[in-house]
Amino acid sequence: MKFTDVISPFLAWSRAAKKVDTIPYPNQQNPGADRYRGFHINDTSKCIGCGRCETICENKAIDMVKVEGVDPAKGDSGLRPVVDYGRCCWCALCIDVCSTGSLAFTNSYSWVTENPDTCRYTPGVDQKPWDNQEKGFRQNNDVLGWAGSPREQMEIETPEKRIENFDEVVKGYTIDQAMEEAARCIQCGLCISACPAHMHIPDYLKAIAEGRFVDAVKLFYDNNPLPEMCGKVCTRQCETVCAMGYQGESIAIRWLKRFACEQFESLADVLALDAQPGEPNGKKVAVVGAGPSGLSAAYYLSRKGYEVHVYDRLEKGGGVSWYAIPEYRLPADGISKQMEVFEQAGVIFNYGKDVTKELLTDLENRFDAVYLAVGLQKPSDARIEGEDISEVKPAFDFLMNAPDKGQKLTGKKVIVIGGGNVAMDAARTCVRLGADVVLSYRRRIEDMPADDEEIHEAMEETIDFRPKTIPIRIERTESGIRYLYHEAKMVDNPKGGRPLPKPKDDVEHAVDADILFSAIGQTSDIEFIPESMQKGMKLKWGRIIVNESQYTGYKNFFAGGDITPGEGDAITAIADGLRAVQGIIDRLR
Amino acid sequence: MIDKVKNGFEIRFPLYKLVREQHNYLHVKVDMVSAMDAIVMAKTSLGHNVLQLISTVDRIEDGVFQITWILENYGACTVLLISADFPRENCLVPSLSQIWPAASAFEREIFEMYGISFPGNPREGEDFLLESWKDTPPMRRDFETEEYAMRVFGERQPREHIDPRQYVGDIVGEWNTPMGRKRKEEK
Repeated sequence: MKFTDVISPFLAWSRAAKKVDTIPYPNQQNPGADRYRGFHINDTSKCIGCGRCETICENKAIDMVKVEGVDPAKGDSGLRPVVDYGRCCWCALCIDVCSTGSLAFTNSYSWVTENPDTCRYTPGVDQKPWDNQEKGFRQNNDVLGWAGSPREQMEIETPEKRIENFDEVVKGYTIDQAMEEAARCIQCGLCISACPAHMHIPDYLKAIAEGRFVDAVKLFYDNNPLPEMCGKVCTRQCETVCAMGYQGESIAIRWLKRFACEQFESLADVLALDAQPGEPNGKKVAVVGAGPSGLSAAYYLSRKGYEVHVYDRLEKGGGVSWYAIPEYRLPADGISKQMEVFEQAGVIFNYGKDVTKELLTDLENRFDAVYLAVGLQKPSDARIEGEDISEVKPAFDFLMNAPDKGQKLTGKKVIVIGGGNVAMDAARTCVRLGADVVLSYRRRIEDMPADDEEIHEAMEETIDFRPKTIPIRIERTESGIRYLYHEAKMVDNPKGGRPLPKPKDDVEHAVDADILFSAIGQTSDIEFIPESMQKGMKLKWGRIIVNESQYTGYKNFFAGGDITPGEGDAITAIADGLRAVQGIIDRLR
Repeated sequence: MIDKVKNGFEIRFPLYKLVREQHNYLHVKVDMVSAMDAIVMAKTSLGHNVLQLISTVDRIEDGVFQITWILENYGACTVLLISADFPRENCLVPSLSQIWPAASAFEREIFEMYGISFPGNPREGEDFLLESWKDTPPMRRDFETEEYAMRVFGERQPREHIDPRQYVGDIVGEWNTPMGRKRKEEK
């Protein structure tokens, strides 16, 4: 026997009074490392329910489910991920790809349960002890860049070159670029909730990514008969909610729509049997106004077998979208290409018809239903002293008369008042015609209702932006006119909403010019509606109030587009047209 | 100190590649034939006599496994990483278990996780972590995690699953358009 064998038991007892090195679990727990991959947390207010975590999960540990207290909204599916810890392997791919970065791991790792089937919960919804745990693995998108990626860059003409002519500013994608860009789509479908017409965006992006451009065009026409126009000038509400846009750039949905349409010389040939008149049902519908809303209603009614007659005061279809939007944004070639489709679908056009009381009474008698989509015709009054001077003109009228065809403003000085798309169009058109342009707007640049891209491009084109300027009056001078304004400061609006501009001081600033265009919006002119009809309709601020199927309340009259209250853009007008089609079908049944 | 190690490689393995160097850290890459010589040199003449870890990366695109031996010199507080690429098909890597008995455990783990055989390891093939694993070794990149999970564990019941794209479309009435109804039926 060795000596140590005798002494060892005593040595062991001598340690009995010493402090133990192990942790008395479960009373005390050893914290995980700072970036430990423990249980999930999810910031449900940030989560948009795009389902990328579910798609990437190789173990099928994540399911998207409905949860109480989270409702679907524009840009949010209302679904949230539930994680099954019987399957999760803590690889963290779900966190790396999370579009908004709402999903994360905590460094908590211990959870004892007797039933393995209960080892699943919805992070952020089901309360857990680690909900407020700050430590744990987090997304680092700067390193991986999986949660969002940059957009395929679109080639754009330089400002110096583009102000010399009316050529299109945006050059369009090549096939490779378009397929690459469309492939970035993660097929979450949130864009559908934001598009007023609920276009099948994920489906047509997939078709473009796979090179099936014909299929893409057919999908456009399912609920938008003006895809090329929308591909160029849509307000693209879809892109504002794109899941890829949170940590990268949203998919260029608008440019891709344009791309697919540009692949074909004739859209009518591509659609072929998909754009034929339906089996005639013997009913007749009149559409007043050949703008986006009227054309949409006409197209689908005709496809459903109605005999559709469209009336418009202009000589061509398309409405203000085509007449008033300058060539450099929306070239005219596209118009006839898209109008062919309507003709193929059997829509009958009556151009050059002034919309009058007599016409409406006549339509009421001859047709089973009437859809009013006349838009806003009358430019708003600027309500500035001196606006009746002949050099002060509405920008809208100027744009409607195709100023790109031959007119010259070389050496002239032009003032444009307004901050919307019409103001940008007028200002940029004048620059192209050779004028020096000053743009005056009451509020800040970020308050301008115009498209961001429009503002950005206008700023590049030598336009002198004067935001925060309040008009005082316009005076006639010997050589032209003088526009006087106060500089403004922004004060909080007591009623809430955007801050209000108020004069900073009494100093009157002056700009001399030759012409002044006011672009402060259009108002409706409903004088063409006979009083008897007006009485049957609900009117407010000169607009027609309609129900969810665009019905006016008067006989078989429906209305849509800008003549009814709404967003005032083309895609909303198209959506109105679609609803009216269903309304008319249901009413005439 | 690390300069001495680097110098040793420059003399004995002039074709070695320097991957990364810091004041007490050196990562080198040698060809597969020289790997064992390099490790023996590091142990016997460069003082890196502790095998800390053997690590593996499956470079499936290049058709190789990259094996890295991490050796420490406790006296000088320096770390040396020696990497070498071995062909992926029927991969064989010499065992270090005769030099460091601890290597045996690392090699058994790699055999189980990647299917790489270490001839000379007396305990190769004994269960390490995965008891009675019959499939493709799970850390190989050609192991289909999802397919395995579905085959072995199946769908967990009851499982609710909603596709966000379809769900959003149904809520907003995406297919309720005049032409849409028909198309959905075709779909």
